[in-house]
Amino acid sequence: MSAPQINISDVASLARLTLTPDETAKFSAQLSQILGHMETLSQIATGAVPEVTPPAQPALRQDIPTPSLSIEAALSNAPAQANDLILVPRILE
Amino acid sequence: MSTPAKWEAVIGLEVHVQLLTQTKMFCGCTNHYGDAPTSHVCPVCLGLPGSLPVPNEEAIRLTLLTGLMLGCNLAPVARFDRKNYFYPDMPKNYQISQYDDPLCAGGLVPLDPFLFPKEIQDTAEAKAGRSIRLTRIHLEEDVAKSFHFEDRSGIDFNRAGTPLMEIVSEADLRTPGEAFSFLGSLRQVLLAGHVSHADMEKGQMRCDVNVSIRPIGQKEFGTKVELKNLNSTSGVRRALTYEIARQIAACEKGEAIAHETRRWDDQAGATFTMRTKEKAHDYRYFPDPDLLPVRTDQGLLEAARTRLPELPTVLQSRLIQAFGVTAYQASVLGADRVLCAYFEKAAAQAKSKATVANWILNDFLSTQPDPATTPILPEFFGELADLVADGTINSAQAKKVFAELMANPASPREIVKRLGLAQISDVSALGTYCDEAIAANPRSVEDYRAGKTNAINALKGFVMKKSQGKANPLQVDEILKAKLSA
Repeated sequence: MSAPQINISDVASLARLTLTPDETAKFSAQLSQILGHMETLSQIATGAVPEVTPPAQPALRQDIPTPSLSIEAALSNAPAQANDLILVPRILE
Repeated sequence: MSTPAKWEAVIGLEVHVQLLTQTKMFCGCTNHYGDAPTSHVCPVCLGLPGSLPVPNEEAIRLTLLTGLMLGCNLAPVARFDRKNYFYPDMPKNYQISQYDDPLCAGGLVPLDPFLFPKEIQDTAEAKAGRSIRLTRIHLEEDVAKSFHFEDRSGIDFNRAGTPLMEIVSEADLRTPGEAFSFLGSLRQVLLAGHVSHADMEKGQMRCDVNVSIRPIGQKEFGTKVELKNLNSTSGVRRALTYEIARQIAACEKGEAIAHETRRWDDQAGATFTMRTKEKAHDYRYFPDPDLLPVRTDQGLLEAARTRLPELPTVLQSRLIQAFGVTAYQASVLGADRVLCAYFEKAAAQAKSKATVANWILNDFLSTQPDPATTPILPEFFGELADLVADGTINSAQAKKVFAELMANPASPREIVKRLGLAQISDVSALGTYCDEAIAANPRSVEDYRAGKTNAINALKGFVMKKSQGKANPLQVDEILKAKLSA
């Protein structure tokens, strides 16, 4: 069975990656192989297997405030800041 | 501007609602606005590597409560998914949302006729009593707030990760007026459940609109346009009115409607292209591996059920039945639970409960009171209405008592004594006044007897003046008529 084709340039643009032609060829082959494994998995008949319901409630949090970071600590890794805001390149819609 | 008869609009709304929780959706940072930027942030809501989200159970309860109030199907097991996209206001580069298994599915929002725009409340459109179907309600996290400067943008992450409930309607709405009432009616339900303050102008409730047009009778939908930047219910109405007319004009010229997102400019009163949707967004949703499915059937749903309030429609029918108020008054009272509680206290013992409603909704409300803190006891309005009902004072005197009540709050009975206002209902005293009136106004008497029934008003005026406004006007009318026809 042939490995499914993947549109690598589309995936790259969604991930904001710029790929060279060599990389495009290499990753196309690798990702197609991964998808091939998924195809194999999907051949297993699971129709009769009931979905696993989580046995218990996962840990939830009570609605009680806990301390936040100080403004200084929160901004300490920001590449640029002003007026306690993190600065980013201008967002254009 | 009404839609030309050939066309109808098809409108669906996506409403985002900020929940009234103390903390954010997946971390314990305070959920509060207006504080110093970047003061309510932690590794979780900043998306720092290695941090893990833990769901806020209160946000889940509030969403389930909303589902209960709107008659949704509530999922016994709900899941959180990642919605992947890049934007500086979202630090993780994905938003935790719900895709395949939201907390609530289906449901209905009944449109309150009195929450249509004022000038169309009397039309068939408002009185149709439609209910709008919901597709789903899910829970997600809000993004940060952006500020735009000349060459940069600044991000305040205080809002990032706060709980946001998204309510999606079916494309059931047909007019801008219905969309207006939908938002108002939905807000009343959210307020009743203390789920959100849901004030659009404060951003506590935000709304995206999808709108298309089609010839009446056609089943297929036209190309839909998404509208953004709608910051008030009246803005939603104006934007829709403009956009529907724009689409109809384009179609009648034979132009195609582009599948696009348009921005409403409230000042210009028009919508403008933001971006054309050449291809659908690819958010690559997948289950968030950091979060286990939530079992709502293990206590959460029961906890939500105990908080079910009296719903707006139920409250309104009860007010109409128990207090004899009009449907309009019931809607006004239902929209303000504090005022409503004040009214119910005021009317509880009163003989004429509908009169109490008139006093509170017409006279009292026009003084812009705060019913929660006013020194004027609700019982005073019951007393005032009773004083008129039992004939102690007439309605003109009641206005004076009301004015004094606002200026120097005291029991209306006290005020009547203080101002010496009690009405004269003593038949012999009134008879004397009437005799004087007849003797002093022979011309009016003649006119009345000749068939000009209005002439009696001059005689009544004489009696009211003589009695310094204290005569019981209904009795004066009876006595005068009896004497004149004798």
